[in-house]
Amino acid sequence: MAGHKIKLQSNDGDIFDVEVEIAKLSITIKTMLEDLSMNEEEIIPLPNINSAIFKKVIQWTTHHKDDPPLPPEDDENREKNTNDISSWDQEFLKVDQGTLFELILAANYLDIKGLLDVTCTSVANMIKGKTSEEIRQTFNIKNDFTPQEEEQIKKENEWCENK
Amino acid sequence: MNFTSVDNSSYLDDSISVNMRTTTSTKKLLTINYEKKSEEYLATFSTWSDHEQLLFVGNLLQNMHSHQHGQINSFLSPMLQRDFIGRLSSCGLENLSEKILEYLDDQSLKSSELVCREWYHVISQGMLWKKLIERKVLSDILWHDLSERRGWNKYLFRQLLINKDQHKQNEFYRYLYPEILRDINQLETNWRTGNYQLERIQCQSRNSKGVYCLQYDNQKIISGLRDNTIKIWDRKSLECIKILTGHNGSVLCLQYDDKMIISGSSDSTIRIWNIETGELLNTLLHHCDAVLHLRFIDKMMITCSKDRSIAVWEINSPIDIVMRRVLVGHRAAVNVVDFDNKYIVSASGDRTIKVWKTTTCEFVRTFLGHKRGIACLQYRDQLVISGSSDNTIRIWDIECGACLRILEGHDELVRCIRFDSKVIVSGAYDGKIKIWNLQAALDPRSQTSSLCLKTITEHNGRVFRLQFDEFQIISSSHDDTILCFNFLQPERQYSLDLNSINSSPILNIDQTQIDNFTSTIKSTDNFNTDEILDRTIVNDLQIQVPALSRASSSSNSGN
Repeated sequence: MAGHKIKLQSNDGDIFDVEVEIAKLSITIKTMLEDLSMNEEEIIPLPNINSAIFKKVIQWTTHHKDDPPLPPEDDENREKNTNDISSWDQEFLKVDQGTLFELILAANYLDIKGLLDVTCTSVANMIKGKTSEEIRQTFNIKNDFTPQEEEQIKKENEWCENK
Repeated sequence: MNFTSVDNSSYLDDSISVNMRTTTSTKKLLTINYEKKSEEYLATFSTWSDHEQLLFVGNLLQNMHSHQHGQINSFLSPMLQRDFIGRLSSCGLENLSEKILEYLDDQSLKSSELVCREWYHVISQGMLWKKLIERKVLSDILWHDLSERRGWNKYLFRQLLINKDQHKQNEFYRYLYPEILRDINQLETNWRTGNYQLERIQCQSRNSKGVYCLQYDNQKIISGLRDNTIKIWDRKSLECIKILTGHNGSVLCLQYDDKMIISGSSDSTIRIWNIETGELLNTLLHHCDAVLHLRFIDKMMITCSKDRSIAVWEINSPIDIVMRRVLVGHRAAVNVVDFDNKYIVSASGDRTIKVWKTTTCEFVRTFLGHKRGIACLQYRDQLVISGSSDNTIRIWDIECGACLRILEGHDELVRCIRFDSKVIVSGAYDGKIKIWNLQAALDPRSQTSSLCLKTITEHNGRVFRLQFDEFQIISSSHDDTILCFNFLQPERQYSLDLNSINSSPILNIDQTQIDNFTSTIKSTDNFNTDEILDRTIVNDLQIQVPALSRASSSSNSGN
């Protein structure tokens, strides 16, 4: 089956020829193919993804097509490690926040767990080790707490200081 | 103006106007020509395709000066920023916001709460403090064991919702988290300063007094005595719950699992007992002198004897244990053995430690260094740590046999030794127990004098055996006692200050949750729901109130 391709269409009209095995890393596409038993020449529309982001997604899935399958998500047994982004992924994720945001939405819509994990980790790493003000600056967020509220939360959080 | 292809167009407008104003104020007013033409161009621009627009802007940029590029960059960068948490939540994708926040440690989560209302709300709704505690419990054995001992494990993971424990909100976990940290800090301080609470078991042996060996868990302590018996003690009440008789000599060593106890004695036999009933299941006759030590893991058992030999056994069942190999080489009694799936390590009165391959029983190497016989050792990961009649403790690298450190401080024979990743605990014939800093001992730059953290003098006779974990040391002695040193203050409870939760102004969010909760109950329940809800909340508060008063009274009595 290697090399067998299907056609996928982004929401701005571009059509992509993608190897089935790579496309199937997306559980959403895999399910479509299995459930709808689609004709080979039929074009599968992806109404939520534009071509620029879809190109990135294909780039990622192509690189990761031979990865061992991830263990199924088990709510009570998740180990979060934020240092485990491979150097290829780090390079791949050197994009502006807008693109990273779109990638998260795409990974979620296409149901590609590995890509979702690594993009979310990447955002978490942008938050880690920063003060609240540094986080606001990083993401261009306005502080909408009243001074009293802010004081109250700070007071409640004092335990963290004397660690 | 209509920039259809750029999302967040309002942002762009703001940025441009800000930028233009600063430019014009320093130079001159806009010409009428500009005002007319620019709208025209923008109208044309908006009719082009995505690709055409990009191409055009690209060309435009190339026709501009680099100082203009800098200015463009300053209003472009905020456009490229995204409030991931806020935006994902507003798209109904809170699960993704939560997923991101789940990667954070406590400090970052704390900073995130203070970013803005939306973030605070997401953290609260997503129960992220609860999830953080759960991750710690899954990844850190100390947190795990503490959660069981302190009882807050019942608030974690999928809870069985008993009425009074219902709807523990994020606030609860947000206050619980620092309480746990405080508890752990206190525990570490107690280890460092030797602040423990002592429990004492008097074994009341009739003839020959002394407790040679022990092993414990949360329910029980099993000990081997000089009076030939094995005694099982309840860990909580410290009462003797069973006495096993059968050996015709002192019980020198033992180990148990969930099915059986295996003991070795100066009567030269190894005996296997049913751990539930205490029934003697099997007696192994092989050694021709006292069985000094034994270890078993899964189907493999190793015993060593005063007869200078080491025996390797295969355990098929308690009643089917077959001797497979005998290891000879030591020139005096073999006092101790330890092993894993890589090496068997033995130590002897002949002053040597010998290493053998577990799979083939092939001899690997001898560690030389101790100036007198070796009484005890433990082997774990890369290290072997031994105690000797020369009063020293030595730390060895298993792979190369190098002695990494000599610990001096005991005044008599070092009889028992255990270590984990942080500390070494040793017991000696002078009755003293010493706690050593293992990590510092492994650092060649550490001063020798700084390595012994604490010396505990409670036994009135030789310390024969000890075991420890994160919370306690349990030791046995020639003085016929078993001592439990508890470093975790036993009565400490978590004192959540619920008053401050209620007065917190930021919690209007949580007030709505409670309101919603009320309305669901009202609409679904047949009972007098107001009363039930009231009771639920009151119960919730009351759980903590006795805990508070207990904590204060106990800390008084404890000191």
